[in-house]
Amino acid sequence: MVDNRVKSVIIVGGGTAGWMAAAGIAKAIGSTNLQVTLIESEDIGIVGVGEATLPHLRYFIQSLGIDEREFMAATDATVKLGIEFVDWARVGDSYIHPFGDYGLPNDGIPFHQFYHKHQSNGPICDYSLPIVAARKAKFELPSQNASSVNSTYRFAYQFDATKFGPFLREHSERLGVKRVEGRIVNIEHSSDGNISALGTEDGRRFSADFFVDCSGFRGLLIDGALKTKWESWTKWLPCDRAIAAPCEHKGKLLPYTRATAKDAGWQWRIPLQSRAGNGYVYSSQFIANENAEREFLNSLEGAKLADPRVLKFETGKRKKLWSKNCLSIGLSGGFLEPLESTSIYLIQQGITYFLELFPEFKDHSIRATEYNRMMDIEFERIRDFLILHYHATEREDTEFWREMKYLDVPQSLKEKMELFKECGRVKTYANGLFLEPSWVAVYYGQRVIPDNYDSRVDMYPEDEVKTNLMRLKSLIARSADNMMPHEQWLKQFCKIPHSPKESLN
Amino acid sequence: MKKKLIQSVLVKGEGYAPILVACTLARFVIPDPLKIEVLSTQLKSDVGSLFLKSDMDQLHRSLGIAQSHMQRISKNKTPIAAVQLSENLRLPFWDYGAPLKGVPFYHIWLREHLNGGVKDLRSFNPSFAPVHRDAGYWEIDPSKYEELLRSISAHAGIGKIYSDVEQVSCDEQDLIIETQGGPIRQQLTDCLRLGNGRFPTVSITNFDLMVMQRNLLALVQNFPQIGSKKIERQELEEELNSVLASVEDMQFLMSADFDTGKLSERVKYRIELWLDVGRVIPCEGDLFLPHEWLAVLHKRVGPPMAYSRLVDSISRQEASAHLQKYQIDEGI
Repeated sequence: MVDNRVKSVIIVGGGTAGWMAAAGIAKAIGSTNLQVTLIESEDIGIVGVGEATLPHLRYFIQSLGIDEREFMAATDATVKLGIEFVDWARVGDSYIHPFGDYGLPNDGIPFHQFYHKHQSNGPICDYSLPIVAARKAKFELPSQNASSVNSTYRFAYQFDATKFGPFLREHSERLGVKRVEGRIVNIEHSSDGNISALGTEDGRRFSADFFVDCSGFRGLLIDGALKTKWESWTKWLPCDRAIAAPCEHKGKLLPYTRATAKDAGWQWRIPLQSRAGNGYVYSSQFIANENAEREFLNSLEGAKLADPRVLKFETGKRKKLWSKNCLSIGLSGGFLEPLESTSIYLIQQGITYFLELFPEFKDHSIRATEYNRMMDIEFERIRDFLILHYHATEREDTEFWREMKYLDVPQSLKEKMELFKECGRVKTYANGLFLEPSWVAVYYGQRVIPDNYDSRVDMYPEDEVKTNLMRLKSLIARSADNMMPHEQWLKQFCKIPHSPKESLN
Repeated sequence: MKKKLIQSVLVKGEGYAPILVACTLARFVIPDPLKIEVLSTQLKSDVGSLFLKSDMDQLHRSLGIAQSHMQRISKNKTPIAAVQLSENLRLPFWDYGAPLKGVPFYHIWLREHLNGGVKDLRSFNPSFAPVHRDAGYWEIDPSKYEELLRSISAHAGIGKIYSDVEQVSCDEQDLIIETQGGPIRQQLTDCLRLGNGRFPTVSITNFDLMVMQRNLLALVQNFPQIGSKKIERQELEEELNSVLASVEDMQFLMSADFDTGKLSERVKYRIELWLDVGRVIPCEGDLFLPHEWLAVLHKRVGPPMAYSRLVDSISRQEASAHLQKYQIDEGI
């Protein structure tokens, strides 16, 4: 075998994406045969995307060999069982998209089909343990016993994203990642158009076989050097601003994120151990920035702990996330707004596919093609799911919501919605995020109710189905009652050793 | 609830297929009354074998086909762990060893193989061990299977018409299902094609039943909207086509002379990616599992140019111990 393997990788940018990529690559491939270098500048701030995450991140943390308690304590983390959507379909509505199942399928027939025939037994959320537990602010680790109802959910973290990068930095350096402090001012190309070296402000030059662009919205390499085109999705996802500020807690420490629909967008509330993270995502076409800021600050539940930060963005993605010998991960590759906490998931998935397709030799075009194909699927499936939240609404009380309600959505989403409306069937797929329970949660929550149920349900005796539904509902309620209050669980599992003010400094 | 649109179904074809379709509809679709009829040109017993995975026979259980029936219609009386596709090619029911630290087993094996001193890949798959297992492939005798289905259909009150048919037409509330494939398939313009009925020129033999099972599951799930002008069967057709695509690709690879044949772009991509990265493409609606693709690609195309770099995180000793753990004892 000829040894012309890729031997060095440079990662540009030291935010969440940069350090996740560094840790992931160093852990998976090791530093014996691959030199991983990360170049970052302390003068350039980080966006710190995330705060709320998806359950997949747990596997990433585990795969790095990081102790979950240590990680949660270091990042001010709480548990997340789902996302509550308030005022989305109608003002006054509230539902939770849970990280877990509704009931259990029977002979391959999804639970919601049985539920749909017997809806008089109460709302569908009563059949989801993560929802019932979340509403009661209760939690315990999921059971490993597949026959237990306590195995029907997963959980994610709500954490301080600005602490996540530094935490991973320490870990990455232990794995052999070399960190370089410096601002990149020069990018060199080889004759085939690949990137060959980077020059820093202080005159140093760094060459490598492969480059990972984690420079955020700037896209220093993927855009600045390689001019890879951006595909804008603002016609479907028009929000383009976010204002974020932390505030003091009030009330119970909730094991879920809240997304409340507002006049021209929506507002997040993410409870951490020491404070609450808040943000208003809005479309600047529909509300002036100063009005948005005023509306946002007035709605904080506790005292503001820092001045608001404003973030401008454009929803969309690079046409090619892997171009030449450069991969874009994180905001440099695409951004789909934080409604379903997918930013860190996309970073993680990007790293996973990259490792699976790691450029063995200098000619890696087939790997790039496959990577781009898989990531396109990921982005498009998330995009459709996000649009569903806005589009499946009955709201017409503001210009923003009228626009979203009558939006011409992508054909792929149109088909999914028609199918569910017709027969309650969720279009499932082998690749990409959001499985059947997620779609069911949002369809029902957004009042998209099927006209028919699966006719196979009629084969089951009605009384038997009703009795089973009642039993399941009681079992879920009892199981949630038996859990520990979320706050108490955190104290036992991973209490942070700081006060709120110390943690912000 | 809206009233379902289809009021009568005519299932056309030969052998076991139309009867299986009719029995499934009679069992699962209950717009009362739904008239179901089978139209065949002759009584015919198929030759050869039909493969069915024991973990796919949920449909059979729903039709009242028990383990004892399966033993009666099976050529081996018990499930088999691998099916012989050609002289040198067997498709394993079970997967190879487990990944280690997230690194696929195959790539761990490949590094050790390239360094010499490790056994052939098949030595790490329990499907190739001569031990009895409860699960695997059923190898079914088509004529006995047809007989069994006939007795079930008789109890379900399914009508049968035996006739040579020149032309079939129907009105809006009827559905015609064609299950006959190959050159003798009739040119019906407005019908739903299932199983072999979707293959215009060739018959796919051994995997017919597996394809039909998957098609029927899709049919039953989508039945409420068939005939609706709004969706126009699009979802169902998409599902049926995705199964078909995977079978077509597998057939190309299984045929001994695939390298001289005319490969589709999809198969070329599968091969290219396999040779470059050792990666099996995950496809929507695939009839075959990744380890089945791996077995066929490895045998037919050969190992990839290099093992995954992920293997570098595992020491040679760790790799050796891991492989040892999964090596089958061929003497059992």
